[in-house]
Amino acid sequence: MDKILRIDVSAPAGPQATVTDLGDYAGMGGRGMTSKVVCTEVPPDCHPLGPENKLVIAPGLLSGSAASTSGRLSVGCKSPLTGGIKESNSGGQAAQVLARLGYAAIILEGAPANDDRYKVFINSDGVKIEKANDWKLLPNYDLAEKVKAEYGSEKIAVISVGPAGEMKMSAASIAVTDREFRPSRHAGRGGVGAVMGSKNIKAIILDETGTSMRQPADPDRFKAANKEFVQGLKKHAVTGQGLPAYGTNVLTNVINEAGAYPTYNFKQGQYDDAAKISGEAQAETESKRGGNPTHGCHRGCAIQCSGIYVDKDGNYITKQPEYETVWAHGGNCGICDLDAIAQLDFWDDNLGLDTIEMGVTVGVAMEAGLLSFGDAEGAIRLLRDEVGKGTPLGRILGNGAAMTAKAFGIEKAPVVKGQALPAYDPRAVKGIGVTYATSTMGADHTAGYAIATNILKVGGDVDPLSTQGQIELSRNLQIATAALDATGFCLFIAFAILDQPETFNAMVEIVNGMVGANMTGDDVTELGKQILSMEREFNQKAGFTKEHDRLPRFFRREAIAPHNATFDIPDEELDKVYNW
Amino acid sequence: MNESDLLEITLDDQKLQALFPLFQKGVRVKIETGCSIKDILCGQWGIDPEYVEGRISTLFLNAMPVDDMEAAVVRDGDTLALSSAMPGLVGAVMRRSGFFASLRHSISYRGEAAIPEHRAGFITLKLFNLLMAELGPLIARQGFWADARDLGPLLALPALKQTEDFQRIFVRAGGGHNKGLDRS
Repeated sequence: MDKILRIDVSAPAGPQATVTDLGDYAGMGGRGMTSKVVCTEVPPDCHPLGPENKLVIAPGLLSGSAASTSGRLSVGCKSPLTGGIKESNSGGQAAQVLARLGYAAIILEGAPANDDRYKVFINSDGVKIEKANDWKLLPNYDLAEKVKAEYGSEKIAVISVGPAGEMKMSAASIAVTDREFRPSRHAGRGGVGAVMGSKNIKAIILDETGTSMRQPADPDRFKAANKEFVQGLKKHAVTGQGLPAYGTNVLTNVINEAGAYPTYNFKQGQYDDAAKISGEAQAETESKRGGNPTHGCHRGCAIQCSGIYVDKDGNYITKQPEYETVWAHGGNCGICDLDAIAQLDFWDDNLGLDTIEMGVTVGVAMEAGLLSFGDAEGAIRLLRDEVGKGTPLGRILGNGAAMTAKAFGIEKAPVVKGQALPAYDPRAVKGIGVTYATSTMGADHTAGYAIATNILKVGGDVDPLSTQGQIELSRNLQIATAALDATGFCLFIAFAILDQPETFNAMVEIVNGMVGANMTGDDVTELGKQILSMEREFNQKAGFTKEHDRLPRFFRREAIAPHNATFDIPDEELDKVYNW
Repeated sequence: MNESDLLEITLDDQKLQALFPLFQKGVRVKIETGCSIKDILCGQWGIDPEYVEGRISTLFLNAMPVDDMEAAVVRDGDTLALSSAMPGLVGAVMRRSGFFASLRHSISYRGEAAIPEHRAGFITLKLFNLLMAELGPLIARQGFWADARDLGPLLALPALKQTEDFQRIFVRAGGGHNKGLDRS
């Protein structure tokens, strides 16, 4: 990965490609790359859909190598949803192929001169950009079929936007094809699809023909570390058993039992029908129908937390909906039908929408009386017929929960910095509320996900039982996550590296073996701090103040059952998160 | 309702798997209450202490995450939920005595001032994820009560049409009666 592809979409004759060396971006990957480019090259006060914003697509530092479970792709820009910096992360095949083609980043820049759509084809011979107006407003699954017919699918990975991205909706995602060439993996959060749509690039087609796996600088060190790392993932109860058997939706029963499962637009913390939509029920349904509850979203994944969800006749509906999706479209909306949730997941993917944002948006629409809680058919209709067709109502919904709440006069918009909260109620789990409030990304559960802080000891040892501990833990989690997001490793490795120091050491050794360095845990911490500091500075220049690092007021005012809890972490404590 | 008046069905082990969804929602079991969770798991149900320590990493007593199984005392009418290790930050947060337990400090089980006396009673037991298959058979061999409405669709047995007259059914898998769970 020694080059960057820049595509300037401004030229009257159509987008122009330039390949440059890495320059000051050498050594950066994933979120480190996307955030550094955005912070360096994008004016923080620009309009997210204007010519000054850039879309940066970057594989992780280890992507394209033999490093296990390292196929994550980062997408960065100024977010049209939050107005701040954004890094959105996706699985699928693209990171591996892009890295093997030698690109550390693709940067889309400028503003198109007309309404033509373009496709970008990249192979080992170079880059070819052509008009693709016949693909205009095609949903992602239909687009994948067109690409397959023209380019094949065996060696191809596609990064694309659906109609939502082309309509520049703030909830629009960027789709990435999976191992079966389905556009089922998404950089979902923050409206990155709208930014790609604003550049009129419909699809980036990556052809890995003639490429080979990236080779480590120190093969013996890399190979030994990778072997130990995989063993660590396999032997851990979460990464080796729970996730492969049930996927992330295994969390439904547990979070519900804890009273932290937001239900009916964050009205209560438990859902009576949670067992009907649990990971256990989902896996059983898939197995009975001939689907597959154990599946990897990209080649080289040792965890296999994904799956294939099929209908009663065994026909593919969608990939196994994840916990966040099942919650957002399920419990949050009072919908307890797994088939309906799978349909909603399909329409999100097909139109190119963030499942969390759209689930919360539908919940707000239900709160507003647009449809009833539990109305699965109504929810599907809103996505397919309103958002998908770009009706005036669909335009409101497609711009997310905050916009929808405003349009319908609803106070209760569960958002931070304009982005919808994920599936954990911050009144029951206050510590995650700290991360929701203070993350540079808006409400984001993955912003503080890398649960290895006790090993990294970021900022020193923390007394986890102190009140201060919640602030410090949130800070440390955010730092560790930012670093992990730069590597291309899937965040789910975090569980094994939390419990097994030897697996954590193996992970660091993989990085060292790959790049020929001698990084320690301290260096990992510094990388995370560097990324967060850049992002924080960007947001401040974009106009964010400490008052934006807050949860909506109703979380402090409205107690949630069954614990009768409110969010009561003082503002002054929240303001300490970035003190380092 | 007098539990002992209800319909009883006995299942072979093969049919037992069909009942796993019941454990997610919760089944009623008879125990000696006033005891610690550890006591119930290891003493009354005879589960290997090593398994309990290593596998049952997430527990809830009446929706409150439990950190100390020996300090948490179960009363008549309580709900006890058992799970293996969970993914996600919040999964780790819920883990028993985990490093991130402080992030859910306000909802954690904190013990009770008055310890209830030991006596026979009923609790609702929930088993999640890997524990359904691993502990479900043990609980079924001892016997449990389930709502007829939940049980009927899972077994799809003609005989269960008669259960419209029953609200709760006693279920026991073949393989003997366990001393720890007397249903009389």
